[in-house]
Amino acid sequence: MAAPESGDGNNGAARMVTLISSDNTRFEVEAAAASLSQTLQLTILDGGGGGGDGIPLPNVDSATLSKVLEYCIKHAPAAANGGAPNATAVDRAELERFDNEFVNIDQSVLYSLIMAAHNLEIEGLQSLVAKKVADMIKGKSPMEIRRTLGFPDPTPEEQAEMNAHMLEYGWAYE
Amino acid sequence: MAAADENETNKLLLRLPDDVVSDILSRLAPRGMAVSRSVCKSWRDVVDSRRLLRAHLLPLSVAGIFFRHTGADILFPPLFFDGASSTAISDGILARFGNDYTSYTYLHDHCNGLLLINKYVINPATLQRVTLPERPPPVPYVLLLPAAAGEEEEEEVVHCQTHVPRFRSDRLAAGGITRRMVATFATPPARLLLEDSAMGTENGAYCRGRLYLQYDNDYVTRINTSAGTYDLIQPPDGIDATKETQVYLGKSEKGVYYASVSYWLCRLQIWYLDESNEQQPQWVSRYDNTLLHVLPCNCNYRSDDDGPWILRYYDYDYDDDEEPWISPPNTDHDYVCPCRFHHHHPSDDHCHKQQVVNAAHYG
Repeated sequence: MAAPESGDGNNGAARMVTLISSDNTRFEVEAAAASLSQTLQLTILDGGGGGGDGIPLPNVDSATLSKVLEYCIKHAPAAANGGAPNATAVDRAELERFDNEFVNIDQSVLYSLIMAAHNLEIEGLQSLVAKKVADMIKGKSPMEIRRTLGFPDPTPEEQAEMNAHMLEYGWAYE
Repeated sequence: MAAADENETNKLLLRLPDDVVSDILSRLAPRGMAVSRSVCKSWRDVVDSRRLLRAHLLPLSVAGIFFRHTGADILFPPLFFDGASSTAISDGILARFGNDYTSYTYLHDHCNGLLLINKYVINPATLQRVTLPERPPPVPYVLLLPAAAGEEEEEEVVHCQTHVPRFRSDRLAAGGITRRMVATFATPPARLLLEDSAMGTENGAYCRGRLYLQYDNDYVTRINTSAGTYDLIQPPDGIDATKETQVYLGKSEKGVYYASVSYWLCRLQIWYLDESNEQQPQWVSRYDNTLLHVLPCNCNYRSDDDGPWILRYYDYDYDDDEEPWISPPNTDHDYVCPCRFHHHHPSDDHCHKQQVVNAAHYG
Protein backbone atom coordinates (compact mmCIF):
# COMPACT_ATOMS: atom_id res chain seq x y z
CA MET A 1 0.00 0.00 0.00
CA ALA A 2 2.85 2.32 0.74
CA ALA A 3 4.73 4.03 -2.04
CA PRO A 4 8.10 2.39 -1.64
CA GLU A 5 9.80 4.67 -4.11
CA SER A 6 8.32 7.90 -2.94
CA GLY A 7 11.81 8.69 -1.79
CA ASP A 8 10.78 10.48 1.36
CA GLY A 9 13.98 9.59 3.14
CA ASN A 10 16.32 10.86 0.46
CA ASN A 11 16.63 14.47 1.38
CA GLY A 12 15.27 14.26 4.87
CA ALA A 13 11.86 15.79 4.08
CA ALA A 14 8.79 13.84 3.07
CA ARG A 15 7.81 14.26 -0.53
CA MET A 16 4.65 16.30 -0.93
CA VAL A 17 2.05 16.21 -3.65
CA THR A 18 -0.75 18.59 -4.50
CA LEU A 19 -4.32 17.45 -5.07
CA ILE A 20 -6.89 19.74 -6.63
CA SER A 21 -10.57 19.26 -5.77
CA SER A 22 -13.45 19.76 -8.18
CA ASP A 23 -13.94 23.27 -6.81
CA ASN A 24 -10.29 24.11 -7.42
CA THR A 25 -9.07 23.97 -3.86
CA ARG A 26 -5.49 22.80 -3.59
CA PHE A 27 -4.44 20.33 -0.91
CA GLU A 28 -0.80 19.63 -0.25
CA VAL A 29 -0.21 16.28 1.44
CA GLU A 30 2.55 13.77 1.90
CA ALA A 31 2.87 11.43 -1.04
CA ALA A 32 2.72 8.49 1.36
CA ALA A 33 -0.75 9.53 2.51
CA ALA A 34 -2.08 10.22 -0.97
CA SER A 35 -0.69 6.91 -2.11
CA LEU A 36 -3.29 5.07 -0.02
CA SER A 37 -5.37 5.75 -3.09
CA GLN A 38 -4.62 3.12 -5.70
CA THR A 39 -5.70 5.58 -8.32
CA LEU A 40 -3.26 8.26 -7.19
CA GLN A 41 -0.45 5.89 -6.37
CA LEU A 42 0.48 5.27 -10.00
CA THR A 43 0.51 8.98 -10.82
CA ILE A 44 2.63 9.71 -7.80
CA LEU A 45 5.05 6.90 -8.60
CA ASP A 46 5.43 8.44 -12.02
CA GLY A 47 6.48 11.63 -10.33
CA GLY A 48 3.20 13.48 -10.84
CA GLY A 49 1.59 15.86 -8.43
CA GLY A 50 4.78 17.56 -7.42
CA GLY A 51 5.70 21.19 -7.72
CA GLY A 52 3.06 23.45 -9.13
CA ASP A 53 1.36 20.77 -11.22
CA GLY A 54 -1.09 19.20 -8.81
CA ILE A 55 -3.35 16.27 -9.56
CA PRO A 56 -6.90 17.33 -10.46
CA LEU A 57 -9.72 15.29 -8.91
CA PRO A 58 -12.83 16.42 -10.77
CA ASN A 59 -15.09 13.96 -8.94
CA VAL A 60 -14.25 15.05 -5.41
CA ASP A 61 -15.25 18.34 -3.86
CA SER A 62 -13.10 20.09 -1.30
CA ALA A 63 -15.19 19.16 1.75
CA THR A 64 -15.02 15.50 0.84
CA LEU A 65 -11.37 15.59 -0.16
CA SER A 66 -10.50 17.21 3.13
CA LYS A 67 -12.28 14.39 4.92
CA VAL A 68 -10.62 11.76 2.76
CA LEU A 69 -7.18 13.20 3.40
CA GLU A 70 -7.87 13.27 7.11
CA TYR A 71 -8.33 9.52 6.87
CA CYS A 72 -5.26 9.01 4.68
CA ILE A 73 -2.97 11.03 6.89
CA LYS A 74 -4.12 9.12 9.94
CA HIS A 75 -3.67 5.74 8.29
CA ALA A 76 -0.53 6.43 6.27
CA PRO A 77 2.02 5.55 8.97
CA ALA A 78 0.39 2.20 9.67
CA ALA A 79 0.06 1.46 5.96
CA ALA A 80 3.73 2.36 5.43
CA ASN A 81 4.59 -0.37 7.91
CA GLY A 82 2.93 -2.87 5.62
CA GLY A 83 -0.26 -3.34 7.54
CA ALA A 84 1.45 -2.25 10.77
CA PRO A 85 2.86 -5.52 12.01
CA ASN A 86 4.80 -3.56 14.61
CA ALA A 87 1.88 -1.48 15.69
CA THR A 88 1.16 -1.67 19.34
CA ALA A 89 -2.25 -2.52 20.68
CA VAL A 90 -2.53 1.10 21.68
CA ASP A 91 -1.90 2.24 18.12
CA ARG A 92 -4.49 -0.15 16.76
CA ALA A 93 -7.03 0.87 19.36
CA GLU A 94 -6.39 4.49 18.50
CA LEU A 95 -6.95 3.84 14.79
CA GLU A 96 -10.12 1.96 15.60
CA ARG A 97 -11.37 4.80 17.74
CA PHE A 98 -10.54 7.22 14.96
CA ASP A 99 -12.38 5.09 12.39
CA ASN A 100 -15.51 4.82 14.52
CA GLU A 101 -15.53 8.54 15.04
CA PHE A 102 -14.69 9.20 11.42
CA VAL A 103 -17.82 7.57 10.01
CA ASN A 104 -20.09 9.04 12.64
CA ILE A 105 -21.34 11.52 10.05
CA ASP A 106 -24.38 12.65 8.11
CA GLN A 107 -25.62 10.43 5.37
CA SER A 108 -24.87 13.02 2.73
CA VAL A 109 -21.25 13.12 3.85
CA LEU A 110 -21.20 9.36 4.10
CA TYR A 111 -22.44 9.09 0.55
CA SER A 112 -19.76 11.47 -0.70
CA LEU A 113 -17.13 9.52 1.18
CA ILE A 114 -18.35 6.23 -0.28
CA MET A 115 -18.11 7.62 -3.78
CA ALA A 116 -14.72 9.21 -3.19
CA ALA A 117 -13.31 6.05 -1.61
CA HIS A 118 -14.68 4.12 -4.57
CA ASN A 119 -13.30 6.47 -7.21
CA LEU A 120 -9.94 6.90 -5.54
CA GLU A 121 -9.76 3.21 -4.64
CA ILE A 122 -8.77 3.67 -1.04
CA GLU A 123 -9.20 0.17 0.19
CA GLY A 124 -9.31 0.79 3.91
CA LEU A 125 -11.78 3.63 3.54
CA GLN A 126 -13.95 1.60 1.19
CA SER A 127 -14.14 -1.11 3.82
CA LEU A 128 -14.82 1.36 6.55
CA VAL A 129 -17.75 3.06 4.83
CA ALA A 130 -19.19 -0.19 3.49
CA LYS A 131 -19.10 -1.63 6.98
CA LYS A 132 -20.77 1.50 8.29
CA VAL A 133 -23.66 1.11 5.85
CA ALA A 134 -23.85 -2.62 6.52
CA ASP A 135 -24.11 -1.89 10.23
CA MET A 136 -26.87 0.60 9.53
CA ILE A 137 -29.00 -1.99 7.77
CA LYS A 138 -28.10 -5.05 9.80
CA GLY A 139 -31.05 -6.73 11.48
CA LYS A 140 -33.59 -4.49 9.80
CA SER A 141 -36.54 -5.41 7.66
CA PRO A 142 -36.60 -4.30 4.01
CA MET A 143 -38.88 -1.39 4.84
CA GLU A 144 -36.74 -0.34 7.79
CA ILE A 145 -33.69 -0.45 5.56
CA ARG A 146 -35.36 1.76 3.02
CA ARG A 147 -36.29 4.27 5.71
CA THR A 148 -32.85 4.13 7.30
CA LEU A 149 -31.15 4.89 4.02
CA GLY A 150 -33.74 7.48 3.09
CA PHE A 151 -35.02 5.63 0.07
CA PRO A 152 -38.36 6.93 -1.18
CA ASP A 153 -41.38 4.93 -0.09
CA PRO A 154 -42.06 2.09 -2.48
CA THR A 155 -44.78 2.41 -5.04
CA PRO A 156 -47.61 -0.14 -4.73
CA GLU A 157 -45.94 -2.18 -7.47
CA GLU A 158 -42.60 -2.09 -5.70
CA GLN A 159 -44.32 -2.99 -2.44
CA ALA A 160 -45.94 -6.02 -4.05
CA GLU A 161 -42.60 -7.03 -5.50
CA MET A 162 -40.93 -6.66 -2.12
CA ASN A 163 -43.55 -8.83 -0.49
CA ALA A 164 -43.17 -11.46 -3.15
CA HIS A 165 -39.42 -11.59 -2.76
CA MET A 166 -39.67 -11.74 0.99
CA LEU A 167 -41.52 -15.02 0.59
CA GLU A 168 -38.63 -16.55 -1.32
CA TYR A 169 -36.48 -16.82 1.73
CA GLY A 170 -39.29 -16.43 4.18
CA TRP A 171 -37.69 -18.55 6.84
CA ALA A 172 -34.81 -16.10 7.03
CA TYR A 173 -37.05 -13.25 8.11
CA GLU A 174 -38.08 -14.59 11.48
CA MET B 1 -22.09 15.05 -7.74
CA ALA B 2 -21.04 15.02 -4.12
CA ALA B 3 -22.28 18.55 -3.67
CA ALA B 4 -25.84 17.53 -4.32
CA ASP B 5 -28.73 19.35 -2.80
CA GLU B 6 -29.39 18.32 0.80
CA ASN B 7 -32.86 17.00 0.01
CA GLU B 8 -31.48 14.85 -2.70
CA THR B 9 -28.60 13.35 -0.80
CA ASN B 10 -30.71 10.87 1.14
CA LYS B 11 -31.83 9.30 -2.06
CA LEU B 12 -28.29 9.11 -3.30
CA LEU B 13 -27.63 5.99 -1.27
CA LEU B 14 -30.15 4.35 -3.54
CA ARG B 15 -27.91 5.10 -6.50
CA LEU B 16 -24.64 3.64 -5.34
CA PRO B 17 -22.65 1.78 -7.97
CA ASP B 18 -23.15 -1.97 -8.04
CA ASP B 19 -19.61 -2.57 -6.86
CA VAL B 20 -20.24 -0.51 -3.76
CA VAL B 21 -23.62 -2.12 -3.08
CA SER B 22 -21.98 -5.49 -3.49
CA ASP B 23 -19.22 -4.51 -1.10
CA ILE B 24 -21.77 -3.39 1.47
CA LEU B 25 -24.11 -6.35 1.17
CA SER B 26 -21.35 -8.90 1.20
CA ARG B 27 -20.61 -7.80 4.74
CA LEU B 28 -24.02 -8.94 5.87
CA ALA B 29 -24.76 -12.36 7.30
CA PRO B 30 -26.72 -14.65 4.97
CA ARG B 31 -29.96 -13.72 6.66
CA GLY B 32 -29.34 -10.00 6.19
CA MET B 33 -28.38 -10.69 2.61
CA ALA B 34 -31.67 -12.48 2.02
CA VAL B 35 -33.53 -9.54 3.50
CA SER B 36 -31.61 -7.07 1.38
CA ARG B 37 -32.86 -8.78 -1.77
CA SER B 38 -36.28 -7.38 -0.97
CA VAL B 39 -35.18 -3.81 -0.43
CA CYS B 40 -35.22 -2.78 -4.06
CA LYS B 41 -34.72 -4.20 -7.50
CA SER B 42 -31.20 -2.88 -8.01
CA TRP B 43 -30.01 -4.51 -4.79
CA ARG B 44 -31.74 -7.74 -5.73
CA ASP B 45 -30.03 -7.68 -9.09
CA VAL B 46 -26.67 -7.18 -7.44
CA VAL B 47 -27.22 -10.06 -5.01
CA ASP B 48 -28.48 -12.37 -7.71
CA SER B 49 -26.10 -11.52 -10.52
CA ARG B 50 -23.08 -11.79 -8.26
CA ARG B 51 -24.40 -14.81 -6.43
CA LEU B 52 -23.80 -13.17 -3.09
CA LEU B 53 -26.47 -15.09 -1.28
CA ARG B 54 -25.40 -18.48 -0.07
CA ALA B 55 -28.86 -19.79 0.57
CA HIS B 56 -27.59 -22.97 2.10
CA LEU B 57 -26.10 -20.91 4.91
CA LEU B 58 -29.43 -19.43 5.83
CA PRO B 59 -30.86 -20.53 9.12
CA LEU B 60 -33.29 -23.28 8.36
CA SER B 61 -36.67 -23.71 9.83
CA VAL B 62 -36.88 -27.22 11.16
CA ALA B 63 -40.39 -28.44 11.57
CA GLY B 64 -39.55 -31.80 12.97
CA ILE B 65 -36.77 -34.18 13.62
CA PHE B 66 -37.69 -37.70 12.94
CA PHE B 67 -35.75 -40.68 14.17
CA ARG B 68 -36.30 -43.95 12.54
CA HIS B 69 -34.56 -47.10 13.54
CA THR B 70 -33.73 -49.76 11.09
CA GLY B 71 -32.43 -53.12 11.95
CA ALA B 72 -33.18 -56.79 12.07
CA ASP B 73 -35.55 -56.90 14.99
CA ILE B 74 -36.26 -53.35 15.96
CA LEU B 75 -39.44 -53.12 17.90
CA PHE B 76 -39.25 -49.44 18.61
CA PRO B 77 -41.61 -47.04 16.99
CA PRO B 78 -40.12 -44.03 15.26
CA LEU B 79 -39.30 -41.03 17.41
CA PHE B 80 -40.45 -37.59 16.59
CA PHE B 81 -39.23 -34.30 18.01
CA ASP B 82 -41.60 -31.60 17.10
CA GLY B 83 -41.86 -27.86 17.15
CA ALA B 84 -45.55 -27.87 17.74
CA SER B 85 -47.33 -26.44 20.71
CA SER B 86 -47.62 -28.41 23.87
CA THR B 87 -50.89 -29.87 22.63
CA ALA B 88 -49.14 -31.79 19.90
CA ILE B 89 -48.76 -35.14 21.49
CA SER B 90 -46.77 -38.01 20.19
CA ASP B 91 -49.63 -40.23 19.16
CA GLY B 92 -51.10 -37.57 16.99
CA ILE B 93 -47.82 -36.92 15.29
CA LEU B 94 -47.06 -40.54 14.76
CA ALA B 95 -50.54 -41.24 13.54
CA ARG B 96 -50.01 -38.66 10.88
CA PHE B 97 -46.87 -40.40 9.77
CA GLY B 98 -48.59 -43.71 10.21
CA ASN B 99 -46.90 -46.54 8.44
CA ASP B 100 -45.95 -44.19 5.73
CA TYR B 101 -42.88 -42.92 7.49
CA THR B 102 -40.36 -44.33 5.09
CA SER B 103 -38.01 -41.45 4.74
CA TYR B 104 -35.79 -42.79 2.08
CA THR B 105 -36.51 -44.61 -1.09
CA TYR B 106 -35.94 -48.27 -1.57
CA LEU B 107 -36.26 -49.97 -4.88
CA HIS B 108 -37.65 -53.40 -4.20
CA ASP B 109 -38.03 -54.68 -7.70
CA HIS B 110 -38.64 -53.83 -11.30
CA CYS B 111 -40.49 -55.37 -14.19
CA ASN B 112 -41.45 -54.30 -17.69
CA GLY B 113 -39.95 -50.91 -17.22
CA LEU B 114 -41.84 -50.30 -13.99
CA LEU B 115 -40.21 -49.79 -10.63
CA LEU B 116 -41.41 -50.87 -7.24
CA ILE B 117 -40.16 -48.15 -4.94
CA ASN B 118 -41.28 -48.28 -1.35
CA LYS B 119 -44.88 -49.32 -1.92
CA TYR B 120 -45.38 -47.50 -5.17
CA VAL B 121 -45.16 -48.65 -8.72
CA ILE B 122 -43.48 -45.94 -10.72
CA ASN B 123 -43.15 -45.60 -14.42
CA PRO B 124 -39.87 -43.75 -14.95
CA ALA B 125 -40.75 -42.98 -18.54
CA THR B 126 -44.03 -41.24 -17.80
CA LEU B 127 -43.20 -40.30 -14.20
CA GLN B 128 -46.49 -41.72 -13.01
CA ARG B 129 -47.11 -43.56 -9.80
CA VAL B 130 -49.68 -45.91 -8.34
CA THR B 131 -49.80 -47.51 -4.94
CA LEU B 132 -49.21 -51.21 -4.84
CA PRO B 133 -51.54 -53.52 -2.97
CA GLU B 134 -49.99 -55.53 -0.18
CA ARG B 135 -47.81 -58.25 -1.56
CA PRO B 136 -47.55 -61.77 -0.23
CA PRO B 137 -44.48 -62.58 1.84
CA PRO B 138 -41.54 -63.84 -0.19
CA VAL B 139 -40.62 -67.50 -0.06
CA PRO B 140 -37.04 -68.31 0.88
CA TYR B 141 -34.91 -70.63 -1.18
CA VAL B 142 -31.43 -71.87 -0.62
CA LEU B 143 -28.91 -71.25 -3.33
CA LEU B 144 -25.20 -71.88 -3.43
CA LEU B 145 -23.28 -68.97 -4.84
CA PRO B 146 -19.94 -69.39 -6.51
CA ALA B 147 -17.08 -69.11 -4.09
CA ALA B 148 -13.73 -67.73 -5.11
CA ALA B 149 -10.79 -70.10 -5.03
CA GLY B 150 -9.86 -71.03 -1.53
CA GLU B 151 -12.94 -69.50 -0.04
CA GLU B 152 -15.53 -71.35 1.85
CA GLU B 153 -18.69 -71.93 0.05
CA GLU B 154 -21.39 -69.69 1.21
CA GLU B 155 -24.92 -70.62 1.55
CA GLU B 156 -27.25 -67.83 0.75
CA VAL B 157 -30.88 -67.37 1.27
CA VAL B 158 -32.62 -66.26 -1.81
CA HIS B 159 -35.97 -64.70 -2.15
CA CYS B 160 -37.46 -65.22 -5.50
CA GLN B 161 -40.53 -63.22 -5.93
CA THR B 162 -42.21 -64.89 -8.82
CA HIS B 163 -41.63 -67.81 -11.12
CA VAL B 164 -39.11 -69.65 -9.05
CA PRO B 165 -36.52 -71.40 -11.19
CA ARG B 166 -35.46 -74.90 -10.38
CA PHE B 167 -31.89 -75.12 -9.28
CA ARG B 168 -29.49 -77.94 -9.47
CA SER B 169 -25.90 -78.03 -8.40
CA ASP B 170 -23.30 -78.29 -11.04
CA ARG B 171 -19.59 -77.92 -11.41
CA LEU B 172 -18.07 -75.19 -13.45
CA ALA B 173 -14.47 -75.29 -14.56
CA ALA B 174 -13.13 -71.86 -15.22
CA GLY B 175 -9.55 -70.94 -16.00
CA GLY B 176 -8.26 -73.99 -14.22
CA ILE B 177 -10.11 -73.05 -11.09
CA THR B 178 -12.89 -75.31 -10.23
CA ARG B 179 -15.77 -73.48 -8.82
CA ARG B 180 -18.82 -74.94 -7.45
CA MET B 181 -21.36 -73.38 -9.62
CA VAL B 182 -24.48 -72.05 -8.14
CA ALA B 183 -27.13 -73.27 -10.26
CA THR B 184 -28.12 -73.62 -13.76
CA PHE B 185 -31.61 -72.96 -14.66
CA ALA B 186 -33.91 -75.56 -16.06
CA THR B 187 -35.86 -72.75 -17.58
CA PRO B 188 -34.02 -69.46 -17.87
CA PRO B 189 -35.63 -67.04 -15.44
CA ALA B 190 -36.62 -63.69 -16.70
CA ARG B 191 -34.91 -62.24 -13.74
CA LEU B 192 -33.66 -63.28 -10.41
CA LEU B 193 -33.56 -61.08 -7.40
CA LEU B 194 -31.25 -62.34 -4.74
CA GLU B 195 -31.45 -60.74 -1.39
CA ASP B 196 -29.11 -61.51 1.39
CA SER B 197 -28.91 -59.87 4.73
CA ALA B 198 -25.14 -60.02 4.90
CA MET B 199 -24.09 -59.05 1.42
CA GLY B 200 -26.72 -56.65 0.42
CA THR B 201 -28.54 -57.02 -2.78
CA GLU B 202 -27.28 -59.37 -5.40
CA ASN B 203 -28.64 -59.83 -8.81
CA GLY B 204 -28.54 -62.22 -11.62
CA ALA B 205 -29.78 -62.52 -15.15
CA TYR B 206 -29.72 -65.35 -17.58
CA CYS B 207 -29.48 -64.35 -21.18
CA ARG B 208 -28.33 -66.04 -24.40
CA GLY B 209 -26.71 -68.96 -22.63
CA ARG B 210 -24.87 -66.82 -20.16
CA LEU B 211 -25.48 -66.21 -16.54
CA TYR B 212 -24.72 -62.73 -15.23
CA LEU B 213 -24.28 -62.24 -11.54
CA GLN B 214 -23.74 -59.08 -9.59
CA TYR B 215 -22.34 -58.85 -6.09
CA ASP B 216 -22.79 -55.59 -4.33
CA ASN B 217 -21.36 -52.80 -6.45
CA ASP B 218 -18.55 -54.90 -7.71
CA TYR B 219 -17.85 -56.52 -11.05
CA VAL B 220 -20.48 -58.33 -12.98
CA THR B 221 -19.54 -61.97 -13.42
CA ARG B 222 -20.45 -63.31 -16.82
CA ILE B 223 -20.60 -67.09 -16.85
CA ASN B 224 -20.83 -69.10 -20.01
CA THR B 225 -22.69 -72.05 -18.62
CA SER B 226 -22.12 -74.33 -21.61
CA ALA B 227 -18.42 -73.59 -22.11
CA GLY B 228 -17.77 -73.46 -18.40
CA THR B 229 -15.89 -70.16 -18.57
CA TYR B 230 -16.43 -66.87 -16.94
CA ASP B 231 -15.12 -63.36 -17.07
CA LEU B 232 -15.59 -60.17 -15.13
CA ILE B 233 -17.19 -57.04 -16.48
CA GLN B 234 -16.57 -53.69 -14.84
CA PRO B 235 -19.58 -51.77 -13.66
CA PRO B 236 -20.56 -48.85 -15.89
CA ASP B 237 -18.65 -45.60 -15.82
CA GLY B 238 -20.56 -42.68 -14.45
CA ILE B 239 -22.45 -44.73 -11.93
CA ASP B 240 -23.54 -42.78 -8.92
CA ALA B 241 -20.70 -43.79 -6.68
CA THR B 242 -22.27 -42.99 -3.34
CA LYS B 243 -22.60 -45.81 -0.91
CA GLU B 244 -26.30 -45.31 -0.67
CA THR B 245 -26.95 -46.91 -3.97
CA GLN B 246 -28.61 -50.12 -4.94
CA VAL B 247 -27.62 -51.83 -8.11
CA TYR B 248 -29.62 -54.24 -10.20
CA LEU B 249 -28.97 -56.58 -13.00
CA GLY B 250 -31.75 -57.67 -15.24
CA LYS B 251 -32.74 -58.74 -18.70
CA SER B 252 -34.74 -56.91 -21.28
CA GLU B 253 -34.97 -56.34 -25.01
CA LYS B 254 -31.32 -55.45 -25.54
CA GLY B 255 -29.99 -58.17 -23.30
CA VAL B 256 -28.50 -57.51 -19.93
CA TYR B 257 -29.29 -54.29 -18.12
CA TYR B 258 -27.57 -52.68 -15.20
CA ALA B 259 -29.47 -50.24 -13.07
CA SER B 260 -28.51 -48.16 -10.08
CA VAL B 261 -30.85 -46.34 -7.74
CA SER B 262 -29.70 -43.95 -5.07
CA TYR B 263 -31.69 -44.02 -1.86
CA TRP B 264 -31.94 -40.37 -1.14
CA LEU B 265 -32.53 -38.67 -4.42
CA CYS B 266 -33.91 -41.75 -6.05
CA ARG B 267 -31.69 -41.21 -9.05
CA LEU B 268 -32.24 -44.00 -11.50
CA GLN B 269 -29.50 -44.84 -13.98
CA ILE B 270 -29.83 -47.64 -16.48
CA TRP B 271 -27.32 -49.14 -18.87
CA TYR B 272 -27.52 -52.11 -21.16
CA LEU B 273 -24.63 -54.32 -22.07
CA ASP B 274 -23.48 -54.05 -25.65
CA GLU B 275 -21.91 -57.40 -26.32
CA SER B 276 -21.37 -56.99 -30.05
CA ASN B 277 -17.75 -57.39 -29.16
CA GLU B 278 -17.78 -60.50 -27.04
CA GLN B 279 -14.37 -59.77 -25.58
CA GLN B 280 -14.97 -56.13 -24.75
CA PRO B 281 -18.53 -55.66 -23.69
CA GLN B 282 -19.60 -52.03 -23.16
CA TRP B 283 -22.23 -50.53 -20.94
CA VAL B 284 -24.44 -48.12 -22.86
CA SER B 285 -26.43 -45.55 -20.94
CA ARG B 286 -30.17 -45.73 -21.44
CA TYR B 287 -31.72 -43.65 -18.70
CA ASP B 288 -30.69 -41.16 -16.06
CA ASN B 289 -33.23 -39.25 -14.06
CA THR B 290 -34.22 -38.39 -10.54
CA LEU B 291 -37.55 -39.78 -9.47
CA LEU B 292 -37.85 -38.32 -6.03
CA HIS B 293 -40.44 -35.79 -7.02
CA VAL B 294 -42.67 -38.54 -8.30
CA LEU B 295 -42.93 -40.03 -4.86
CA PRO B 296 -45.39 -38.51 -2.44
CA CYS B 297 -44.08 -36.37 0.34
CA ASN B 298 -42.92 -38.77 2.98
CA CYS B 299 -44.13 -36.80 5.90
CA ASN B 300 -47.44 -35.13 6.30
CA TYR B 301 -46.33 -32.58 8.78
CA ARG B 302 -48.81 -29.76 8.86
CA SER B 303 -47.37 -26.32 8.92
CA ASP B 304 -50.32 -24.95 10.87
CA ASP B 305 -49.04 -26.95 13.82
CA ASP B 306 -45.79 -25.08 13.69
CA GLY B 307 -44.92 -23.42 16.93
CA PRO B 308 -42.31 -23.20 19.63
CA TRP B 309 -39.85 -26.02 19.71
CA ILE B 310 -40.42 -28.81 22.13
CA LEU B 311 -38.40 -31.86 22.75
CA ARG B 312 -41.16 -34.33 23.21
CA TYR B 313 -40.80 -36.51 26.21
CA TYR B 314 -40.37 -40.04 25.11
CA ASP B 315 -39.78 -42.88 27.50
CA TYR B 316 -37.72 -44.97 25.20
CA ASP B 317 -36.47 -47.29 27.86
CA TYR B 318 -38.28 -50.43 28.83
CA ASP B 319 -36.80 -50.28 32.28
CA ASP B 320 -38.98 -48.04 34.41
CA ASP B 321 -36.17 -47.33 36.82
CA GLU B 322 -33.98 -45.80 34.20
CA GLU B 323 -33.87 -42.14 33.46
CA PRO B 324 -35.78 -41.22 30.38
CA TRP B 325 -33.59 -40.61 27.39
CA ILE B 326 -34.97 -37.34 26.43
CA SER B 327 -35.55 -34.54 28.79
CA PRO B 328 -39.04 -33.18 29.34
CA PRO B 329 -40.29 -30.32 27.20
CA ASN B 330 -38.03 -27.43 26.59
CA THR B 331 -39.69 -24.40 25.17
CA ASP B 332 -36.67 -22.48 24.00
CA HIS B 333 -37.78 -21.24 20.63
CA ASP B 334 -34.54 -21.76 18.77
CA TYR B 335 -33.58 -24.93 20.45
CA VAL B 336 -33.08 -27.59 17.86
CA CYS B 337 -32.59 -30.76 19.67
CA PRO B 338 -28.95 -31.28 20.47
CA CYS B 339 -30.12 -34.12 22.69
CA ARG B 340 -27.89 -36.93 23.71
CA PHE B 341 -28.91 -40.49 23.34
CA HIS B 342 -27.82 -43.30 25.54
CA HIS B 343 -28.20 -46.83 24.49
CA HIS B 344 -29.59 -48.81 27.33
CA HIS B 345 -31.61 -51.39 25.64
CA PRO B 346 -30.73 -54.96 26.61
CA SER B 347 -30.46 -56.09 23.01
CA ASP B 348 -28.20 -53.17 22.16
CA ASP B 349 -25.49 -55.41 20.87
CA HIS B 350 -27.00 -56.02 17.56
CA CYS B 351 -30.19 -54.16 17.19
CA HIS B 352 -28.72 -50.67 17.03
CA LYS B 353 -26.01 -51.48 14.62
CA GLN B 354 -27.95 -50.17 11.75
CA GLN B 355 -29.73 -47.43 13.55
CA VAL B 356 -30.42 -44.69 11.15
CA VAL B 357 -31.27 -41.23 12.25
CA ASN B 358 -33.16 -39.26 9.74
CA ALA B 359 -33.51 -35.58 10.28
CA ALA B 360 -35.84 -33.83 7.98
CA HIS B 361 -36.55 -30.18 7.58
CA TYR B 362 -39.45 -28.58 5.93
CA GLY B 363 -39.46 -25.02 4.79
